[in-house]
Amino acid sequence: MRKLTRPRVSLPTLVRIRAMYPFNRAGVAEFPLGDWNNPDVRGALYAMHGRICAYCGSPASDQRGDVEHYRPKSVYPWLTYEFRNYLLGCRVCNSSRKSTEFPLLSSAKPLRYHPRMYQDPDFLEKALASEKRLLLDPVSDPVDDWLDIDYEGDLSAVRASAAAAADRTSRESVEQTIQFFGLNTIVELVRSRNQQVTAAIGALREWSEGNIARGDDVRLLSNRYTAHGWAVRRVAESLAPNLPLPTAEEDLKWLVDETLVLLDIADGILKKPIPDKDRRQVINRRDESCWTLAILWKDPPAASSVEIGKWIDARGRRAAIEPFLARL
Amino acid sequence: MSILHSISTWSGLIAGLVGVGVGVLFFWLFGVIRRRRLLRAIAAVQNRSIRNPHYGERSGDVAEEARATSFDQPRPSGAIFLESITIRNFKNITRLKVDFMRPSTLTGEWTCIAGINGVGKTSILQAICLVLLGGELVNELGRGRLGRLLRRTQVGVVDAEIEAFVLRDKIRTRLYIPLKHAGPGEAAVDIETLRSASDYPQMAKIWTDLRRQVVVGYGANRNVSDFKDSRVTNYSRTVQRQMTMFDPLTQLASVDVILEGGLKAQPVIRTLRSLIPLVLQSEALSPTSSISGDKLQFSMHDTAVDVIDLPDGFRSTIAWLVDLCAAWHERAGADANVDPAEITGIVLLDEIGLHLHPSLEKALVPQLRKALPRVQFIVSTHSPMVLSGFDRDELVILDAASPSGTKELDRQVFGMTMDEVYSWLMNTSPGSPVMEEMLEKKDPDVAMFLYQSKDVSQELARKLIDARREDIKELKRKHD
Repeated sequence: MRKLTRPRVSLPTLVRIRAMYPFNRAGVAEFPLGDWNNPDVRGALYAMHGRICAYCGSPASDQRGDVEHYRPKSVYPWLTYEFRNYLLGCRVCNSSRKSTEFPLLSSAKPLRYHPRMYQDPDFLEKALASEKRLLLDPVSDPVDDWLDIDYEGDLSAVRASAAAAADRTSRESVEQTIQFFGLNTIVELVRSRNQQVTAAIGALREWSEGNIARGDDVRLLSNRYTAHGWAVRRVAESLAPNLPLPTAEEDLKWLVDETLVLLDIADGILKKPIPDKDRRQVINRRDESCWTLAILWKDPPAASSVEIGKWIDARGRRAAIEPFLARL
Repeated sequence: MSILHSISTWSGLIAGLVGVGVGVLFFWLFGVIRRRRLLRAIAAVQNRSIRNPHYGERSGDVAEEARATSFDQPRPSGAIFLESITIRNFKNITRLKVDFMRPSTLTGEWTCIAGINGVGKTSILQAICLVLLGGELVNELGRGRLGRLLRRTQVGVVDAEIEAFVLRDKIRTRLYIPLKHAGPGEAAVDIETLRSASDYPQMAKIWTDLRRQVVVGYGANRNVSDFKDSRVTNYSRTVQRQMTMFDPLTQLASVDVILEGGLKAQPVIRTLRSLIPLVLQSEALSPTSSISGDKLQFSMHDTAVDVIDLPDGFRSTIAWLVDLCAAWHERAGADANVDPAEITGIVLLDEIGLHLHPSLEKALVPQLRKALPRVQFIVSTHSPMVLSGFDRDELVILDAASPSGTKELDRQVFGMTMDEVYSWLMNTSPGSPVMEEMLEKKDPDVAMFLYQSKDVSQELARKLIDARREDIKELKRKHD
């Protein structure tokens, strides 16, 4: 799990739904189901953390993942169309692990709806922060400081860092989250994370013995937007503090370039004759990439808006993205 | 005289011997030729392509709706195919529509239904059974049995409706079965409502014609035993052919052909002799070439074995193949000599790969495509091996979470490995449950086990772990 920054944008789908479906007193509305899968919402999540699961760091199932309601919509219906409640999850974390659960401290009750939450985002923010939840939130908790990789244990297990272990609440939160999502018990997850970390350790050793190119291999593996990048990063920081790891800006450049490639691929497919059903889907995927780029352009987590614009320009894509940017 | 006599005796003897010799020779030659011809026929079927040459063809004047069902593809004339079904309030299904003839990149008319237990695979097959049997015959199943097919809700039992469309010679006909609650735990087809439908005459015509065509259904329990089941003898033959779908203890309808053989079984056995080696490509099993040929036997490790004594794994597949061929030969006006490729009909099969080893399971569907290209198959399975043999538009993946009840597939699965089919299509982690348990319990040997794989032996795993520990130690020493 790595720290995420939520872009400050107003997504057309959410604006539209907010206007069309007012809540009743209990915070329930006759919402349509599934519009959280619209390209603007998905695009925003890809912009936030690439195509990896917010919880376990695996590749998002199918390169797309599930739009995950952090607080389940069955318990918190009023957060069904609230962007601050969305994360990208893999199918395992979203469906089999999380489902409709949201563990709280045993003494606590789920937060109740209050009409002010609807009008006042700061009030909502405060109310959410006051809830005694047990699961880590990669947006508001300092997860980069709290989570650690136990590389000496042969399996590269996730554990609470010294900083988190010092405090009872944070330690409990970390341990609960690890257990809840099976971060150290799902075979494929443990295996793939461990393989990545082992590969990085091998490369680090060769780099430390003078093989400069192997340092680049570690830098690639520790990309924030790729699977288990955060775990490799944690290990490299600890074992080889002298190796410069990619900056937030470098990783962001990678994400922008990668998304531009997806855009090119989609355009390539659309030039060919394909069944209508497939065409609709490719257009949808293309829109997602456009939204991702537009959102990064509008509110980048690193670098600056001007710089992102330059990267998009370099590939001649300004005209393709600008209409999306205008709708944010 | 005595010399003459002895000469004639000798010559008679010699002539007799020569005669017998020639006879034996002919007998042997006949056997060889027959065997050769069979092998050649089998090889010819093997060489058939499973790629649909008509995929992607479109004619300008066909409506969008028709295009969605490969309406235009050439099909045997006169044969009835099931195009779609809509099921309402049937068992645990509230509402579900399934299309069976979507354009596919592969040959044949195949649909494979998959999904977790209890999601309604068998229910769909049963609903198809009913709608193909037709109003009158459905009631033969009995009010109690039909009563169990209605959906139960908190407020009580709800009446069920099944609506289907069939295609024959590019003419589409609707079939309809209203199943009404009729007393506690009982139900029956509402014949009055049915007859008052404006298209009832067309429906009745199709149902009558379907009785002359092969429509067979096999539940996940398709048994062959020498137990005489007296319960099913009252049913008409058509209904009897579907009974394993509704009653797990029923015998197959053609159990007599399988067990007793005799003259009427001969054509069936002939057809099977060319069909079975194609479908079950096992070294261990082949139908015997006994010349009398009035009883179906198999040779296993050079001994003749009756169907009933076959290993379970083979038996449940052989059983339905025999029943299908028997049903074909039982139709009025059937030829005694049949190329299986001529057989038309609709086969419903729950758990198609039942009991088969993955290596046999793997070949089953592609081989059936080649061997029985004109039969419409609607099957279900839990096996990733079987699933990976279908086009994405032949697959119906039931998914209770999706609003339409099925999962729309945006890619082909035949390029995938079994691991990928498990996780992508079946939502199941392919990891070992033992490993999960050990990780959970923090077993001291867990790392050793996890490092082993198809490329890493236990010895190598040890080395890899040691090398990694060494790397860490070295790195730590450097920056301390």
